[in-house]
Amino acid sequence: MSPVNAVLRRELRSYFVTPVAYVFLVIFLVLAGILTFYAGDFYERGQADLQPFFTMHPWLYLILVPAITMRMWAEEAKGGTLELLLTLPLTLWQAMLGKFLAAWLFIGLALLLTFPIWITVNYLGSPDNGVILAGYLGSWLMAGSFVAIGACLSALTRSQVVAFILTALVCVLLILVGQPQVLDFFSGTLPRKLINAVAHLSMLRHFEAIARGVLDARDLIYFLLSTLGWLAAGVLLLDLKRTR
Amino acid sequence: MPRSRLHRLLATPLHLTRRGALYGALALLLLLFVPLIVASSRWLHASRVDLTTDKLYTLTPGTLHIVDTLQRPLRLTLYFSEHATRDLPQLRSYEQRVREMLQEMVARSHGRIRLQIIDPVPYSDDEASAEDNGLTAANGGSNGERVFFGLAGSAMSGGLENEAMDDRMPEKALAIAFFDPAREAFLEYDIARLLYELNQTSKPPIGVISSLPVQGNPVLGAPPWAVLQQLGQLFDVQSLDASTLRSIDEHIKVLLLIHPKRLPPDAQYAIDQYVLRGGHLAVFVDPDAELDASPYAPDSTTFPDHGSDLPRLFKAWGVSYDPHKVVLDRARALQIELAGSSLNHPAMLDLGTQELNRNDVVTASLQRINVSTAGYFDLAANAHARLLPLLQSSAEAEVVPTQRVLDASSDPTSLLQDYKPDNAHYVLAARLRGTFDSAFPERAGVAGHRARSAPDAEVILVADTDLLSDRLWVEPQTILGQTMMRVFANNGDFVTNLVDNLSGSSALLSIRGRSTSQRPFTRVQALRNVADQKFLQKEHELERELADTRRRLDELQPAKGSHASTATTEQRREIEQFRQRQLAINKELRDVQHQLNAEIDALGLRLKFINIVLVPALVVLLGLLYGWRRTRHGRRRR
Repeated sequence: MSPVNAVLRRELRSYFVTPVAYVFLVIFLVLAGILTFYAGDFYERGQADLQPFFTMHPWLYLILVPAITMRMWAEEAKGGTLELLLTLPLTLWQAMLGKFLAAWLFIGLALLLTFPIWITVNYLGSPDNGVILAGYLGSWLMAGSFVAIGACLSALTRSQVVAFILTALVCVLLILVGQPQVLDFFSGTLPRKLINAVAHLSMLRHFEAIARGVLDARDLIYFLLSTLGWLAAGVLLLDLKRTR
Repeated sequence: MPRSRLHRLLATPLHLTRRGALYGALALLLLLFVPLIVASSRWLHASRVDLTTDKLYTLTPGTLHIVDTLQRPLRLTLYFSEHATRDLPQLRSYEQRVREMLQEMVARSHGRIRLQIIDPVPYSDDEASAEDNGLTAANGGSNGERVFFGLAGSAMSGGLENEAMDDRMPEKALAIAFFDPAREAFLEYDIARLLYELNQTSKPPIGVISSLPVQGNPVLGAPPWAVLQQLGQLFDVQSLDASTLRSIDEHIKVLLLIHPKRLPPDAQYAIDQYVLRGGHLAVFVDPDAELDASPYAPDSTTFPDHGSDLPRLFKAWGVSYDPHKVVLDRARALQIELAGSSLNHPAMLDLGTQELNRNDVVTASLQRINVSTAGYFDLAANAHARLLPLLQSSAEAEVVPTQRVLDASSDPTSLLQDYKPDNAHYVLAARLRGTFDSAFPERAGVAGHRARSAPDAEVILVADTDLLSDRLWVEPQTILGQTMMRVFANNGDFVTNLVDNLSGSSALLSIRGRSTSQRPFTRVQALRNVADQKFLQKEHELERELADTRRRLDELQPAKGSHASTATTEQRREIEQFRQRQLAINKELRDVQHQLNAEIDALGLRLKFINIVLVPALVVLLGLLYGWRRTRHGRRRR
């Protein structure tokens, strides 16, 4: 078994031995349902698509991803198991990747468990299932980027609370950065080219681009780059801790 | 000692440099990360997979063909008011879609199309140029600013080779005045058509012979029908006068014959010879043309004769058509409003994808065509041609005499009494392909007479003229202060498609009439329809009952004079009964309505329960089960 796989399995198992995983899953599913049906007016608007469902995802992840990732490295650092882990015959990259994949798969499971909404929309009308598939893929990719951010920031601190707050803060910034209101706020002070450049960093923009049903290489590269970038930063931070 | 300090500096422990390297790497990561993402987003060529069922974001072969075959360089300017649309997110996202589509076309054109994007700030030269180019501004932007969102295109002089585009003079200019988000499904078509028209040096001529006022009435200020307006954008539409028609010019690409009534033999001969010479004809006949305003015919006593036919030519081509028969179809009945209530009209049909031929280019990409009091075609016993259906009825159809439909005009639901489906798909429009004989063999001596067409000659037959009228497919709508035509059926596309197809330029065909992104909850709609139907039925029932009571009340009236006192008592009782019954009926109707809405609400509640409660509860159950097994397992081990 490869080291990545071993870490991945250990992490996944650790989710499910405590009630934590179930609580997360239940909160995610209940919130997703409530937000879709009540805040998104899914049934009343009478359109066979999952737009109200996917629109809520960035905001759902804002709460749930930091909650999942906050303990990833902070707990190990506090409990003193980090040193133990680092003495094992595996590289930092392998440990990081294993933990990241475990959290990402866990969110993937939460997403899969929302299948009744897909059945519901197919029961009510004939939706464009290609668009729905793209929505799920985009949502999962976005979750991946958020998890990478959480993994990195959890490596930065020993406190889970600090890790949670920092992750939520960075995620909300990346969601808001491309919003017209935010861009307009800076339009007076910053040069236009810079504003346009900043808009490209927006997580929401790339997610929405995928969720409309088109897998554009540029959006995929954005998610790939930002996931790898944050993971790399996390590995560097862990390495810094080790060399202290 | 300086020497020893230097020595110490050089001999700093290795792990510190490692830390430095790590910090350096972090800084480098940060420095590289942002530019890399920005660069990949901005300059990477867009390669993508379109997962939408209708390939909404992929250029169709028709568009690619138009872009590939451009004869002269084109310059496009997209005007979009950035600032004024700050609070209009829907318009902003639509602009992104428009821009992406234009960029896709530009990328494909290898320099033949140049695109510029301009934000026409209020009181700027750009704003003036937008207006000069034919764009219309919509009201309702932020701070009351005007919103420009349109495309100006111009074709440049000269060929595609040499010289820079900037030095050239624009030869022809056209514009899309405003990109209406409601027309999203036709976005690609609209832009491709602009390119197609810009590239065209002249419009192909088509001829129209019609006894309906399709060209409008300039004296009364009535505009041409929307179908004709749409055709006029692509073709040079020439009206031909049937009463003086002797021959049809060779250069007419397509001839539309609409509602032929009492066509002079010479005109029929001209059409006959036009078809035999290889001309393309589309005939629209109708058992009852509702927009035919002709007065009572001398031979008709009850109703004016609003039917049309082309008997002599149909006979020669082997087509059978009866102008006294109308196709009813209760499965495709169009919902209409009549005297305040909505009902299904079995003679007005809402033909969907099931009834449209998916294998014919003319109808393949269309979604919905509305017809009214349509007839049907069949092949005659002696026919040599083939009938390739374009529009058909469902198997639930029934054929009835035209007169019966006319008699039921005030209560179309009466057509459903004694309804017997014929279990046959009636052909409402078709291509007729084959070798045609002349309908005028006696004129064989005339110079240039042709007795027979080449093999595989083609005529398009449509058994309805009402589908051409505006009321069955467009309605005016005001968006942001602009009056636009909202299209609710593909009738116009159908006609443009067939003329386009017959005229030989079918590049635009694959683009037109793509389905919109609107996908309603069909199940809820069906529930609502059933509910409406039940409500209507109940309403009819109760109204009949009320009418009975009212009649009884009227019957009591004459008694008033003779036996005033008794009659009044009786009357009063009847009136009281009437009022009681009316109150009860109103309550019953309210109950029915309430009960029907309740069904829809109950479905919503069930779905909410399943999505919000059921699956999370299952997860909890699974967790508990797993936990219980683990503790039992643990105890046993202990």
